[in-house]
Amino acid sequence: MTTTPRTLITPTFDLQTAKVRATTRATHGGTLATLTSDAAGGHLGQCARVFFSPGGTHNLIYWSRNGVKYLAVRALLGPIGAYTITHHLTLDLSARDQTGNTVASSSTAIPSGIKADVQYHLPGNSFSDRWRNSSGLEWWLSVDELVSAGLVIGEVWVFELVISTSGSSIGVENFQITEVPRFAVDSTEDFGQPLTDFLPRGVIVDGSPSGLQRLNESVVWGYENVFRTYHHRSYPHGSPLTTTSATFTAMTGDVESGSNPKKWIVRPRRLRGQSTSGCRVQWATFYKTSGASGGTLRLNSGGFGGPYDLVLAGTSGTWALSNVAQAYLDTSAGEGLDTITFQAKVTAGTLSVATIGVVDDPE
Amino acid sequence: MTTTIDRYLKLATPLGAADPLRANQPLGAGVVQIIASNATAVCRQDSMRTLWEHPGGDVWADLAIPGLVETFRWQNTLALGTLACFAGLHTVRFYGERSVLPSLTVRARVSSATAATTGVVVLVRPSYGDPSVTYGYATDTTTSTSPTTIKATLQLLQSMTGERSLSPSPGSSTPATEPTESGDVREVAVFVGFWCTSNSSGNKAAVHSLTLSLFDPQ
Repeated sequence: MTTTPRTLITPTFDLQTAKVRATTRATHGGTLATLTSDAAGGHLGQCARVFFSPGGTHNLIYWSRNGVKYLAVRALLGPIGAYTITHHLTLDLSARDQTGNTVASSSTAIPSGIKADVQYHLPGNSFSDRWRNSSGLEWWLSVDELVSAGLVIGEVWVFELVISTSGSSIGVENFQITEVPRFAVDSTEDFGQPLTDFLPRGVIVDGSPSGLQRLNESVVWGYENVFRTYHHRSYPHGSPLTTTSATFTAMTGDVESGSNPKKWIVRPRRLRGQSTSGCRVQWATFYKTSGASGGTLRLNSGGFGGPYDLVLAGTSGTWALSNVAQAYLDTSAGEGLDTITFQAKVTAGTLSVATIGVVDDPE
Repeated sequence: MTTTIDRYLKLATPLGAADPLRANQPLGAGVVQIIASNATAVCRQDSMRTLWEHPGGDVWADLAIPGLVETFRWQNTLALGTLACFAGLHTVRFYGERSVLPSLTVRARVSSATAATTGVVVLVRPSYGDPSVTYGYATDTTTSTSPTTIKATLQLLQSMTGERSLSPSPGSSTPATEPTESGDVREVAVFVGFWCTSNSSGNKAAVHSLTLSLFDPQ
């Protein structure tokens, strides 16, 4: 294995120098290697988040895959009203995958600070300045470590964040788990090419994983495996979106007006031209049903073949990760925007939805 | 001459026996151009994404000095009639090969209070800290009492962002073979706020479906 550090840069490739009937030069390969490595690993950006929480249990949905090295975990803690310095909170992060493998917060893969081992207070006392006395915190998760601890790469992972507060004057203004761009080219991975393959006046190194063929493989990786997050909402288990309706309706907590669900505007990735089937996405939810009866969550969009239903098995009161469903977003609109809404129904009892995640599923 | 046609053209991989990229073959201009175009298009598109959502709430408090968005009440909570949110600290990249950053857009569905104006302000700064209009902001308003889309767009400039060195240090079980990766990223911290000129808790505006997204440069 060889690793080569790289900076985050998207070089300009001058097509004029590679025009038809012109001889390509050695530098073209090197420039393309930098460019394709950046396409594959420089723009990672899947992000799961919690918009605000005074405390409680949240779940964040993440589509794991090879090629991602680190996840940044960021939180901004702030006062709620006038802060009392004896008030504090702890953060406890654990993870599980679709198969049911779990990584408890006590695992060495979870860094100190988000394993309920630190009581976070805000600086000062009796103040109500929301931002000057807020605390921005950051931790790192290694995908390799999480896999070593038991999670299966390629599956959907669910992070569980438990925010335990002592006192009501402190909360989490923002919490996010986001992918970190790659700062190195690793020859053991399916993309990226070290520049040492393209030495000046040297023969281009050939053979897997080197050679010019690696260029196209890297671009394909960037197209197929860099997932844009279109939508991610996480509500605490104590106040999820709910429905008791036997027909599709907007969920309580997700109503814009009357019986109309909230409308979420997204900007689909438009790489294959303008089409109602131009952008395939995958989506999942973290939910529970009060009884053994199941329900269905529906995603409406401008994409063809919709609406898209996600059938949810009954969980008898236990929170669970759904299967993954597919949908399409419309890329034909002038601004390239689409609007998505969610509706739900349940056979009997109550369907509660804590988290909804929608990300790319390139085809 | 542009580097990309902003459209991804599929090349089979591997390209097989006729693969012009295999060893000892003359490198054709067409394939080189397609790869460069594809890679640049992917770099441009993969950075454009939704950064944050919020379900919204009811607002009714006006700006501290009516009409002057610089006096938005960032300290207020929803209970006091203002929706003021920290929308996260996000990595941003230049738009592909161009030395220009994406634009930042916040959208929401808003029903304004009766005979009142409801507004949104999006504000950025290079890192965590106090929300301040020093670095840059954008705003939009509506008087419609039926749900309508409101949008504020800010073209990000380098002066609005901060560069930071990241050296991830994850949990305590780092394998011995784990290579260390570290590098510099460009970041921007974003705040989003909503106000309403009704100044009456009995006459509220309804704000729904906040989304913060990166878009192509303006």
